[in-house]
Amino acid sequence: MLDVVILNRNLGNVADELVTSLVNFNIPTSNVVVVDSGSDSDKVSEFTTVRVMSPEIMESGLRVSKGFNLGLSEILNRKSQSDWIMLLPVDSVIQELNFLQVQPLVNRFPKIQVVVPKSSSEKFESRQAPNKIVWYFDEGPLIIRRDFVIKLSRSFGIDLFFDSGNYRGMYNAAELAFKAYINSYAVLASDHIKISEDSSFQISQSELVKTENVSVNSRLLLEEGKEWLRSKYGILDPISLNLVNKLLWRDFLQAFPEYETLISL
Amino acid sequence: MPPQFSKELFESRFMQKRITMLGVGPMSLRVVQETGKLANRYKKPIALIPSRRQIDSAELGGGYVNNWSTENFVQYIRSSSDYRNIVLSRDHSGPWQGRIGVHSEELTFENALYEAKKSLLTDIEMGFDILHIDPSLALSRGFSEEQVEEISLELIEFCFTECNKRKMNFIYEYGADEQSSIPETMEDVIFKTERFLAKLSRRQLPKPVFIVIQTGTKVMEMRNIGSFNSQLRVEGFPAPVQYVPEVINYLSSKNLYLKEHNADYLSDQALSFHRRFGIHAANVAPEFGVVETRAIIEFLLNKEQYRVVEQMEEYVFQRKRWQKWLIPDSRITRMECLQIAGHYHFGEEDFQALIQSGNLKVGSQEEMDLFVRESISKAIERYLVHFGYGVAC
Repeated sequence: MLDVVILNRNLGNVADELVTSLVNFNIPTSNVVVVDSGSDSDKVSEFTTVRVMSPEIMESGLRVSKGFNLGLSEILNRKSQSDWIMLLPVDSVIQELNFLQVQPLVNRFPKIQVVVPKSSSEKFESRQAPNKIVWYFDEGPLIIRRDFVIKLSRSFGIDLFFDSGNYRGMYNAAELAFKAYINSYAVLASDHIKISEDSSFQISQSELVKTENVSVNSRLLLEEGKEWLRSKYGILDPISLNLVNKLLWRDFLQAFPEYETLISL
Repeated sequence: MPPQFSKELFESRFMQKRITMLGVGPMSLRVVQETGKLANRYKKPIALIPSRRQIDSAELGGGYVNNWSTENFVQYIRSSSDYRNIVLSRDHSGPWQGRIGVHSEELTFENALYEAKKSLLTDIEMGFDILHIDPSLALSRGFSEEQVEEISLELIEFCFTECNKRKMNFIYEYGADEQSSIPETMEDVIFKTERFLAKLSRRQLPKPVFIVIQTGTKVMEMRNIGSFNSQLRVEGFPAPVQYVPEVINYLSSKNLYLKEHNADYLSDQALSFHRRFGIHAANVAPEFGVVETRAIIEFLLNKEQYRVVEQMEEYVFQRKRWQKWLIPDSRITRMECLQIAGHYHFGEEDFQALIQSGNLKVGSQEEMDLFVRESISKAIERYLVHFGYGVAC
């Protein structure tokens, strides 16, 4: 079973379609939470569960870190039979969501705490396999083990699963990989999960989603992301975090070689 | 005479110390001279990498840089201890890689191949250290990838035989990244490399030392527009941190080294990745020509030589050498055309006369020369620092 969190800002119709489309993928869902991140009243999803309407959020939105933290908090406060929580930005396009195929793998390999679609640059790698343990993946949709969220959030409160200080969520994926491997957990990329993000909203309809145009947003993503990484970890060059993840990933596979066998499954 | 470049020398002085060897395009006499000085100051080899269009065999009409032919260029370099740390590395040798405008009509394949061999033979006779075998321009003339590979093998066999006759080492670089700015998948890299190595082995030909593989660099106008230089992921391109080390690991397993082309204008951050990823060698060319032209313009404008700069703009604009560098649909000014393509004309008497035609005070030409040299040296040194050349003496 999966719980689902969808983060919407001014794309109510798109969010509604995304919720409805989940049925097509034969996924038993326990809870679907739609977090509304300061949408105008006529652009709110009919499935909205949590809505934030403070003037500040109406103006700037919750953005990825705060928005998903709020959804995770809502999910954890509910009764659920799901061991996994899927986080979907509203512009997600699901091509394949065959989590039932992934389930036996994650049961057999319990150190897997995060499941992601294959990175769009995976084809440039030499290790090709339908399922593999990865150190690098794209920002975007995530499926996270419920226990992992609880373990990493419990000490400080749910607000800290994603760092709210990382306003635009740049390098969230790299930080999540770091949190997994530094704790001897792993991230699985699977061909059974094919979800992409429709970047056209950001590129051509930035006014609709009430965000900066794509060039300004790209600049701010970089500037703010780098500053966050510098102030939090003292890392000046974001690639260094990727390289740390690669070292930890290599160390993980040496310590738990059975996870290498995933490639042949 | 400088020590002969060898694979062993490269391994001991670069590979084992994880230093990226720099290849500098000899864009002008000044660029060549400043490269020689820096190689001596850092006491490490720097490669000069003339393309055939820049410098070619005298019989084929030489090249546009300083009116040098291969013969007098090599004599110039090898006759002076100023260039004792210079490696001579031919860039892009193959059919149709010769000087544009020498022939009024497009060469037939047979003639283009004949000229390529003639050019390579002169390189061998004159003692070039590394030869880049690149017949990739045949791709745009309807040849298939496999046919292009066969042309490569023919050229490699030709060079190997000629070197053997002269009891010389044949060290070469293979591959091209000019056809695309998109790296190949690892599957393709492995498939093509294995196929090529198998063919070499069947013909008992030596393996290349360097392989050119697209890492995500591409130079257009006066910037690097490739994904390697982007700090954000570019859709359809691999993340360099994921791809480049994979390529290097694979090549290393085959005892081959990666040569990156088109490293011009990369940011300091992107350059700093070279040692961290372990990129073995990288070429930079047009950037240094642009730096030289910009420095000349800056000096002349500071001396209020506006008319001279305008005439330089007109001269370069009319000759259209800037066109091949344009990003499609790009709008650039005449000043930008001058900056992009000024260096193509440094070897032309009329252009030199134009640069010196202003009413500068006595001593200003020397002052300009010093200023331009400092600019070039600083630009080259940026790469040396990031590539791990150490501390200058």
